[in-house]
Amino acid sequence: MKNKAIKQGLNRTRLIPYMFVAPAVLYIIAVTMIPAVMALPISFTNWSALSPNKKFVGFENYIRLISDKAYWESCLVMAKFFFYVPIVMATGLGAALLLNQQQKGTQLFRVIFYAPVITSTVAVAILFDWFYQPTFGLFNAILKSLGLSPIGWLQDPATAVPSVILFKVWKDFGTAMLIYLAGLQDIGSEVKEAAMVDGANVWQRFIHITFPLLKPSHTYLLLTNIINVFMIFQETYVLEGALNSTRTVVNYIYEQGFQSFRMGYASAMSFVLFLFIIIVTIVQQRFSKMELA
Amino acid sequence: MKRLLSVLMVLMLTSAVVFAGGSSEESAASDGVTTIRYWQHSSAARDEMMLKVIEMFEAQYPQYKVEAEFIPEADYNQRLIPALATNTAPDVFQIQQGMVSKLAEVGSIQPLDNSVMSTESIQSDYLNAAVDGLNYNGMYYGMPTDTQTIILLYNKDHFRAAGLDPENPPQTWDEFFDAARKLTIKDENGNLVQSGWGGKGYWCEVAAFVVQHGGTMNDENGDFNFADNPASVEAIRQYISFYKDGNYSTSFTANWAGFRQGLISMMLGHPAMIGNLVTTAPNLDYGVALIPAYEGRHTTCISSWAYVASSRADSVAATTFIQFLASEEVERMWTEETGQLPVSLSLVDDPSIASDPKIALAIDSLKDSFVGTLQTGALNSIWDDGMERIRDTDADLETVLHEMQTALNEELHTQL
Repeated sequence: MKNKAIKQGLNRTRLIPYMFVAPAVLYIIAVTMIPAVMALPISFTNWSALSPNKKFVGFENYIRLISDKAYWESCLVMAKFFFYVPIVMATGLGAALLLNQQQKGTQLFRVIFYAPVITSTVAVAILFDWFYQPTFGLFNAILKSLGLSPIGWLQDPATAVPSVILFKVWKDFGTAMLIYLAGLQDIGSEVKEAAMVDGANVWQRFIHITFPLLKPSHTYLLLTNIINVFMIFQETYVLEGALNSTRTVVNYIYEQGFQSFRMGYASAMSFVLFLFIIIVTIVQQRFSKMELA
Repeated sequence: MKRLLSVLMVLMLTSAVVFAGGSSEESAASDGVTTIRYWQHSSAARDEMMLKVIEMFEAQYPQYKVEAEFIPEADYNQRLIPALATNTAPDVFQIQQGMVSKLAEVGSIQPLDNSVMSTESIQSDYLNAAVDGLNYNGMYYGMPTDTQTIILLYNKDHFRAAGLDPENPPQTWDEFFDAARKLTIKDENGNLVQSGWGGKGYWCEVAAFVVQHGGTMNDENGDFNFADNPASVEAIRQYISFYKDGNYSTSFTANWAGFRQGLISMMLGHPAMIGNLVTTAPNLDYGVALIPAYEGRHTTCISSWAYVASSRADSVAATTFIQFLASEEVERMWTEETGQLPVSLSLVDDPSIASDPKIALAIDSLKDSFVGTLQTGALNSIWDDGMERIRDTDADLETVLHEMQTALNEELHTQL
């Protein structure tokens, strides 16, 4: 009798964590997983989304995708955005190292650096669009006051992607900073003290102790930021570079789905993107496990 | 792997059940009162005005009740398209004029009920250029709203400073380009300080210029043909030469922002800007004039949105509401309170409709007008991308125009 009660209690205890995560899991299934999976059957149709009528077209959308020059150009634009990943991680790490000290004012700077993360992307992107204005924008005014030549920013296809990367780094490095701060605080002081006793200088301690011990943070940030790059949309929707120089795959999917009403084709592109993200995630996880082993 | 496949299968089946079960709300009729659901893209002035109009409609037609929803313009398509896709679109809604034939083709909207608004009455009572684009296979599928032409807006202070008469704006294209060059100011390094004209290739402006100069944008079947017509190509070359010669640049300033800030002297644009400038540039001393003329004709291009009825709406109720929205009484209110152009022939010729001379001139512009054919987001994107290449690169004009034409025709003939 007593054993049964203990068993029931244990079962209940085991259920509790699932109950906590259930709302989030159900939400993700409903608003992310189901629409993502739905893209597959839709991708085999010519659905316009202007009516419920659909016609099965087999692999037509996938074949079209192979020869669609604009699609591959948008892939190239997206590829350029991968430079964002090491930059945002390095900036976040730098900020975390500076703020991982018990000095007056560090709390304030943590708040200031994290503030862009919680601001509306569209609202601040509009603000940056003004800052990037070549003739009257803030950034060129600063460059001119320093005696430097103005830059075309978004108006110049050569500088458009770096301009958006600059904006994204400013907007997102607070998240990387927070993750690295948590990681830094997990590193026991005894390890560093032992290294100091052995005569290691600041740089040696960083390279041989701090950086390797931050590996879980690196892995998490690398994965989430790579996925983030695959999904860039709002930033490039507002900060539109000249001659489609910032049109990413997601922007192109949006154009095809919501402007040209080729929802079947847009779904095919979405599904290919979805597969890419899954493959990258699996490969990255395998590498991480191998390295940990 | 098997487990992953099982999970995917379950998700697909679940999603199919969820999506197959889309609701099919019908126009509700209870106690003899039919409810009409209505959507429009939102702006403070338009929403307030529409609520007044709905109140008037319900007083005149007590058998109908209108449930209106105002959606910000940026979100409008994202709300409307899923509603159309799941057959839950409102009974009456606004749509860009160019979308009418596409929605009619896939059966998402229905023709106006002939017992309420006959084809003949539409043809005889409304400006043809404003309603032509709403005709699909011989039937009208909607009535125009937010009708716009292209007029000239100019900064009077700049005219005075350049020694031009602010009360005598350019009447011909020669005068216009001459004034634009006089109004352009550059610093000692050749950088723009003030631009005479902020033209960057907006479709309706270019179309009006081309048509005035004897070119065509479309053939008799509606296909785009400007790249094959030497008169059109030459006109576009002439139009863009002001920009190519460095008299304006999009990197100098955005054109309407520049006009508001006093950095651009002249703009060709929609009469809706008259209402807009009241709040966005209240101190700007500007005048309006008809679009410049070639050989005496100020021919301009019309663009508009349309009120349409979804295929599932009560045909009579929806058409009655649309008829009311397009009635003389309501058009007069729109014009007097917001500056929107009327399209009823009786109002276009009625001198009492506009006490503001700027609005009166805008209405006058309707008299020599043709319907613009580039009225969907996708077509506009193709045009804008092409014009950007013409303006900002050394690409050959004729090559780019041919590429634009091919892409536009392909988009036009996309089977939905």
